[in-house]
Amino acid sequence: MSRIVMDANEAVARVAHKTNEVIAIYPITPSSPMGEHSDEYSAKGEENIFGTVPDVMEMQSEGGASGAVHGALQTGSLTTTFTASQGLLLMIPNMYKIAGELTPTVFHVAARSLAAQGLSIFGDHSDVMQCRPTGFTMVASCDAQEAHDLALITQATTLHARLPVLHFFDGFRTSHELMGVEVIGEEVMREMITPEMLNAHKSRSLDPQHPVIRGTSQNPDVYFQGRETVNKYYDAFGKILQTQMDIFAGLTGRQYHLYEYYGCEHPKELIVIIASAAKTVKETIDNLGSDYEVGVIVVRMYRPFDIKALLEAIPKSVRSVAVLDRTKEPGANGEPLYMDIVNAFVESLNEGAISVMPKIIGGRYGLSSKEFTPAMVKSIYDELKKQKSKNHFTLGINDDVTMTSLEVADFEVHEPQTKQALFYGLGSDGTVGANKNTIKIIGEDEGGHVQGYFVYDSKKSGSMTTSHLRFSSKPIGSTYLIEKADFIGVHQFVFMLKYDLLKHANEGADILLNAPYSADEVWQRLPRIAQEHIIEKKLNLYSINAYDVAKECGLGKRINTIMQTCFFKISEVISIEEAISKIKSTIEKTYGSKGEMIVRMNYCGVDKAIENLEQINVAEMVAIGPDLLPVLKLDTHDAFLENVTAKIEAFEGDEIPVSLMPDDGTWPLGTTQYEKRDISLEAPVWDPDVCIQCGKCMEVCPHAVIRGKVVDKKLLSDAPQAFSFVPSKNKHFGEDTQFSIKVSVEDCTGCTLCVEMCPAKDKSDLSRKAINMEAIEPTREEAIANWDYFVGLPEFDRTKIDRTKVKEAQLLQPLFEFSGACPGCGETPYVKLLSQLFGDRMIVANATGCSSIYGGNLPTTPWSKNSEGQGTAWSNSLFEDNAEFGLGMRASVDRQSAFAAELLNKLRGDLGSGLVDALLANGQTDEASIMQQRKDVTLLNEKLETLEGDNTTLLKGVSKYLIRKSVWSIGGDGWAYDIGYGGLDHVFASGKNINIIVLDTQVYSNTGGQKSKATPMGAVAKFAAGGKMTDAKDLALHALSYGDVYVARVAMGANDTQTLKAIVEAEAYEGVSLIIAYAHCVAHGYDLRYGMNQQKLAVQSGLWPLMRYNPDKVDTDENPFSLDYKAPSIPVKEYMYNETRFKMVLKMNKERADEFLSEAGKKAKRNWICYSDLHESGNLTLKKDEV
Amino acid sequence: MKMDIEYLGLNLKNPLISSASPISSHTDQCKELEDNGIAAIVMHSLFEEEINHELHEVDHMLFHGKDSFAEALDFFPDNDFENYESDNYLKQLETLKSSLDIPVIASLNGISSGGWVKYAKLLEDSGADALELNLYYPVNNANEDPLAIEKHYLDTISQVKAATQLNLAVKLSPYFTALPNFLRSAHINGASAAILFNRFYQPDIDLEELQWQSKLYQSSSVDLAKALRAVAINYGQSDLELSISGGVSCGTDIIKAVMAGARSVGVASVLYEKGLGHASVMLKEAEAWMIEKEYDSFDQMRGSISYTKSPNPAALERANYVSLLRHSEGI
Repeated sequence: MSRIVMDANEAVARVAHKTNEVIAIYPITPSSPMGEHSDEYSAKGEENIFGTVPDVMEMQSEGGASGAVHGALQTGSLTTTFTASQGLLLMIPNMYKIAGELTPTVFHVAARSLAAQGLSIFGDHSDVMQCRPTGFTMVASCDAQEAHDLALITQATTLHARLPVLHFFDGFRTSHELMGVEVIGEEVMREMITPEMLNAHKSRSLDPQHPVIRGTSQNPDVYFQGRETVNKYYDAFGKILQTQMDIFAGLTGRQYHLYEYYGCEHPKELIVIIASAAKTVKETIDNLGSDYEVGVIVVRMYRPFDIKALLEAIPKSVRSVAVLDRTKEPGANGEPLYMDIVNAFVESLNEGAISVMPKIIGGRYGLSSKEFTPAMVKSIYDELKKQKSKNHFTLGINDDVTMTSLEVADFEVHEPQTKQALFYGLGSDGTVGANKNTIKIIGEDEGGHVQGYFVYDSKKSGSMTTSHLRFSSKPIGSTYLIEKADFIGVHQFVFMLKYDLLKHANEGADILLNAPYSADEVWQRLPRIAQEHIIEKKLNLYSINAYDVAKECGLGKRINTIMQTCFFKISEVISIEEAISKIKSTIEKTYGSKGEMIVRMNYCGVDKAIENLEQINVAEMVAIGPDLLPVLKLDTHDAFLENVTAKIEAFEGDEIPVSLMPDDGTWPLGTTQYEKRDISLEAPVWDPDVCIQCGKCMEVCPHAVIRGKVVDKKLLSDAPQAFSFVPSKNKHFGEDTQFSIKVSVEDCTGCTLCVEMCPAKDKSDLSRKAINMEAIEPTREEAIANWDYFVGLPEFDRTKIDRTKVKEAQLLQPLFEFSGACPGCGETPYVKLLSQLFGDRMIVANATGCSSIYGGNLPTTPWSKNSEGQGTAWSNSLFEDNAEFGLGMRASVDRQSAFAAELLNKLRGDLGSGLVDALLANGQTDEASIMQQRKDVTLLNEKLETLEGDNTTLLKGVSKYLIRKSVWSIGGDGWAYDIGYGGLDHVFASGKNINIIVLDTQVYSNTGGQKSKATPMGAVAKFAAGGKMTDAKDLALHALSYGDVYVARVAMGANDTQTLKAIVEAEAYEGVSLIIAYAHCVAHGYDLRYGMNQQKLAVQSGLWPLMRYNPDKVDTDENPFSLDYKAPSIPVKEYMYNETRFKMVLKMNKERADEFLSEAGKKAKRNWICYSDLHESGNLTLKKDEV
Repeated sequence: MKMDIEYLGLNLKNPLISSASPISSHTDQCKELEDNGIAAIVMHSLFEEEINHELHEVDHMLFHGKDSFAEALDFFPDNDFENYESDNYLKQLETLKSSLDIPVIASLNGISSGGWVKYAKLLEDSGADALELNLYYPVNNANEDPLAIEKHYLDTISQVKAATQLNLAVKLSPYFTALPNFLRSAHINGASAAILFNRFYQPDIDLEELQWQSKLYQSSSVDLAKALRAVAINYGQSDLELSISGGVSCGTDIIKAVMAGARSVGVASVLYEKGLGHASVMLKEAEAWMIEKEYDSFDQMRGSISYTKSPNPAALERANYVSLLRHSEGI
């Protein structure tokens, strides 16, 4: 039977879309693709099995999605949703309702860790286990085929049984793992889900023709009985599920059971486990010697828990059982499945169904996609064989604190029919896409068994991707990463220089390198450790200069089909002629039948790949190459940095023992400075003679790699020879003050925004500006020395800096540097600016999103400290609660500073009125007075050391709150416009002194471009595939309606002075302040070097108005509303069509594209009318004549 | 009296052709031109750079930011693209062919020979009656050898000719050192006609932004004069057919062009200025002149004032240049 290669997300979406009428979702990794696939199917007009196209709705949060699902179900539609992790938790209240009302539905969950000491996007069962008491039944799948099948089986079951189902599978390991799936045909679906079943569901709906009420309020007399009515449904469920499984088997040949035994006929040791790890256990069983009499129970139906059916599946010979849980319940006697199994055996013993209690131990494995390997499986069986086995163990980590971990055996599975291949690529170079295609070719057309799994690193771009591909003539049971491969493709040569990749090569493996050198130069460029592997393991080495080939064919940097062709040539998995033919037909399918000319250009790469591939003769070679480049540049001895941070950086984080991890999830600041990612070949070079010292280059740099300082000339006496500086053009800094700009070339990402922004041109050569991009290599060491010296120079006196002028504000030290944000990111310049202005006294509540990822994705954080050790205290709580989280911080800070003031007064006698009055009276409205307060608090603390008593102790605890704190809620539009809007609105109404900045990319950037309520009309986004039909919410107008909220709309690229003013005013305002900052983003679809220019065009077109509303100016002569932009002066097309998100519509449908342009033009006019009216009329809080 | 002529192996009802311009994107406008007597349509040029640009644009749309970060494996939904500019060209060619009776000549503008060969075949398959190749390779570097440039042009011609059965016309810039020699070589390499001359965007300097800005000037009678001279000089030096483009605005310009030696004339600017109906005004004027001066046909007058047949060839030589300058006080 033919198979189609897909992952579980796609496999489930196909069934869910076919068997539902309404789909309400909210995106969350790793479940988002299920909703996205469904939306694409509906957008293409694909019908479900009843002949109608399902409606797919993206809601504002999972809470909202579950509400919409509940509503749709109650009014008769077959409805579903897809979610994971935090999102699933938000659905729990509705899940109780849905189950309590006996409503058939299947929720599909790509099970993922919960945020506890830290957030994780990776897979385990923590989320689904929180749903046990809701009343949802729970069914688990082990791979994409099972997920596909069980999606249908559970859908049929729920309609018969009237109990809702939580269908889950492992996040990433299953949700994103590609395999060949036998697709269920619609006839089978119709056999299992009939119109009669559909109508039975509809007959119970809320319907005015036959109205009923639900959701009553019940009292002590009847609630309990009402709760117990459902028992018979749970009793019947298991049988109904098995019946549907049997029917399915009859139709497809694939048989499932509630509890499935696999192993020898009379096992002694047994593992009980749920989901994908079961496949690894099965594979291990097949490979253990005959001295292992072992087996495994795969649990498919977890709720209800059918003790009888479970015991029937367990062979009577079993003497000891290990139960594996992929979750943790701190404080419990054991994890969920373990407790259920223990209980099952205890009850069975009590009832006489068994006569002997086996030894039962439980353990935790695989939290957050921690690997679970055959070696670990063997360790469990070995443990079970012991007289006394360890209980409540952990597997896969080294717990050297509470000693829970099991020793892992040295064991590998060898499957000779399975070929394993590893590919290392750079994000966006097409490697992953090509590998996905390779899998399709082999798995679909050739009928082989395939598996593809992809690992990405923690940076948003410039990151290494690793593709794990397996090909076999028999089904593949290895649900773990490849350790040793028969083929390794390294698509970016720099990875060879940094990492010991060839340690993953099997003896005699084939190695393919994309090297920017001729074949005879490659050997000497390799590091010694790679050369050693090649010689010792007798590896076959091939190379190709893929970028040259791509260039020749006009393909730019896209090397994917070139490398893919080379793989097929070398590996001979299928004949090269067939491979080329398949690759070419994929190219044709990709661009569509209408892209003929473009298709031919791509063929060129394929054709030229083989003629440019060369094998390197290594017979006579010796290993004399250089060492690997260091992963971290540490200039200090710090145990944590060396033993934790550096390890994680070197991909050795798995080795870190529990004892070295922070107990409470607290991590140190300022660690990105050690990374030195070296990802750019070019960096800006400063020309001091052309420079006008405007500060714009530093302002727009997303990564704080280009900075300026002013220092007294005397301090430069020991400067390196090549250290350039010129007199400062700011005379009020002092006659001898010098100005210098320096660049950290090791941190630069090469985005070139600084050069684009620079307004100063060389009068003798207009192609040159005050900064110009130049190759790093020739002057690298000098540049590094200059930077190191520059960083060591003291910061200029903050009290002398005019923070409202860009050129001066940019001289303040950034306390946010070298983040993992995309090159050219539009958010980070604002974040960095905040850190410059307030970073030494700022507390940040950061919403989940891009800013929490580049702000806090391990191993490093860009938030840093100044030389006094001060910096931003930062935390990400959740997604939906960020405004409230910040509000709580402000309430707390205010309370403690009030408390401190009270204590000061109580201790006035001991401390002296002078100091107390100074501390209390200081308004701390500028840098000088804040600096004074810091000094006075230091003095206070010294004095407190000499005193005793409870009030003294208490004041010691809160004296730091006498220093003014700047509290900020930072987040994107996903948080502010959608999931967090309710909380944000409440904060608007609070009147507390909290500052909010919304980094508005107009789309859910972090999770891959789903639309938000900030997405403008005409923009293509997920869930707006043809271009968004409705316009964006105007969040500013919402906030303005309160009258006492400071509101600003800013865009740095259009008016950086206004941006700076708004931020300073917002922070100074002693009430709620909201700044909505336009942020260009990779999700907009253009080279971000033009990002700031696009901001300018957005404002000039009228689509992004600039304004400020300052409540402090109400009741004064000044207009509180400042209109900060001019009437639209360019057609909207000039802004919009530079961006793929808008221009894409033109490629799809010209008429719709023209309509969007027309509507956008009207919108720009309406914006102008609305905002200029607010400006002129004073309508917000005052009558016109009072302005 | 006979108005029809033969050009590029096509029977045209008169020498007046609509040159490459955006008019060809509008089928209704082409029909109107046909109704007004235009004998053939040259489609707007398909630029190699535009095709490349579109490829990169589409690639960008399909692959931008893909597979870099686990939470955002892509940024845009899957979409089917239909509106490919490069393929719209082929579609429009087919539409024009099915809507018009007059020949439709496709126009290519590129710099790499590989590109041309591919597209030429596609254009032939879509029904083009002939092919116009815009040969313009801007030489900006002192290291570029003039003979190598000419060889590149000639190689392009022969490669395209090898790939298609269509007759080729090459549209040239006026800046050849030895145009007659090049034209003869072009013919040997497979060109059937040469169109004199191409016009280019000439940039101006923007002193506010301190950068170059592009401007397009409409063609003028200066362009016509240049072409007339070139056609007259070259007529008869090979079997290459000649066509004049640029600065043609009235019926008598057609006469002048044919007398100099041209087979056909191309118009565009004047149609924008004076409307599509101006084509019939021009043709009527030409016809009237021919009737008045008792000419039987364009074939009769073709090349009658070319260099070798001119009553005063010195006007086309250096002596005339010297004399004009000497007597230029009144200008």
